[in-house]
Amino acid sequence: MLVRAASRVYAGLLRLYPPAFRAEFADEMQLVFREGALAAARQGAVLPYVLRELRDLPPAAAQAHWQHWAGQWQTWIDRLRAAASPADLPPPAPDGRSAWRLAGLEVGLFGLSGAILIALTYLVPEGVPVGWQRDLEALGRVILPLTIPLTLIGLARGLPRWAYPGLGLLLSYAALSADRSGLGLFLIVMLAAASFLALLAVSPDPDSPPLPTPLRRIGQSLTLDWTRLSFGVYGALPLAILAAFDDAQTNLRTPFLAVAALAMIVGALIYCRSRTSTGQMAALLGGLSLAIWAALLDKAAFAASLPGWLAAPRPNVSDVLLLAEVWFRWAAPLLAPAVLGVARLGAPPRRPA
Amino acid sequence: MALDPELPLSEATFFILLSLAPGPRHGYAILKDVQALSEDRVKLSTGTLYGALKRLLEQGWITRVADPAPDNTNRQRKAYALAEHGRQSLEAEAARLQKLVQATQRRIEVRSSV
Repeated sequence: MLVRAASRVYAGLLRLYPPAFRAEFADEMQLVFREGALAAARQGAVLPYVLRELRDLPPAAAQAHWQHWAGQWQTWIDRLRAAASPADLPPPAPDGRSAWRLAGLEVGLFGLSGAILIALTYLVPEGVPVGWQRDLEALGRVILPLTIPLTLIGLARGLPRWAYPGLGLLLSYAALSADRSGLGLFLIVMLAAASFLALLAVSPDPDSPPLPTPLRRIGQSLTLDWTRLSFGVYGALPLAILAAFDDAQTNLRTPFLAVAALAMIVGALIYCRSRTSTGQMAALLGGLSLAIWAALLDKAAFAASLPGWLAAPRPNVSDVLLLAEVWFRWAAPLLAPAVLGVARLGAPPRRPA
Repeated sequence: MALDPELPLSEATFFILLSLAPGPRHGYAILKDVQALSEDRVKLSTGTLYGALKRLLEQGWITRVADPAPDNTNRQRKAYALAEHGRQSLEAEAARLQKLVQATQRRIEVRSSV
């Protein structure tokens, strides 16, 4: 009697499992449960047996759901990797590690933006209004014509490494504009929706043909070297420097903005010539940290009204905290590709079962 | 020696594979055998057993075969057998455990002889 009732309850609880698991094992599990219950009944221990089985079933079902979703995700990754396989593509374009000329191209955007920052701050051409650093519309008139063509050409060419900083600067400008105009959430929702649709679009069927070559070339570039994503984030550094030195034109005009711009350029150049991921990331984090440090000294110099360029300013605690926050805000996305394991997408497919 | 990323095995996995080492068994026979092999220490529930069996099937460590000892009911029971990859993993795990035991014994012998 008890065995029959327990078997019914157990059969009902098997609905907690994913449908595919139930279809494969539910009958067998009911049979095994019943055999175990009958054996336990013969020893007069059916209740402890049933309680143990019922206690273990929900966590086992939860684990089955987890395995199911993990398996689905891995299958999707494997299929995407197969559909985006660069096996028949020509080898990716060489980057700045192979030639100084290419490194110069990759650093070009940083050199140009550094030169603009320095010129507008120290030379102050006529017609440039005070506080231009905070005028997003004016910034857009420089950033958009520069980065949109670069990004489009880069995408058409399979996103070579020189295209990443332009894309990063464009996206960060769009994010900043959306944030200032109260559209930050809207932008995030739109980006999430676009990413979801893009994933659906490339969600491959095992029998479908490979993805179009331009998309596969972009995938090839993205999976070749995950630090490229960090390099793209580093592309937004000119905007970070602007934010950190937003009062540079109205104060003492210390040399620190030039130091920050130089640190940014040198960091990018070392990145472009580094051959290891560790060296590349160290170069990017070093460039960012030096630029932020220069901003900290600038704020300290402003607060102390130092008479000369070479006087040593002492930063105060609130400035240190403020710029530590700025540093973290930029270092976190810089390191995110490594932390999120983007490199795994470029790893060889898992061993077939 | 190259490290096998799949080692060490969990105790439940080890006993399930060990149970299948002599030949194919069906689910309930595995449960009873695991309990006997572990001297009543490991009592797998049905849910835990089938979660492990599914994973081992997906990994290709075991396969489904016809029940070698069908009962007199009309129900078709399924049995499971160790596949080559599963046997290799079991042997590798056994060798690993043996080395651990040897190392422990050597150290204990040295201490007791001092």
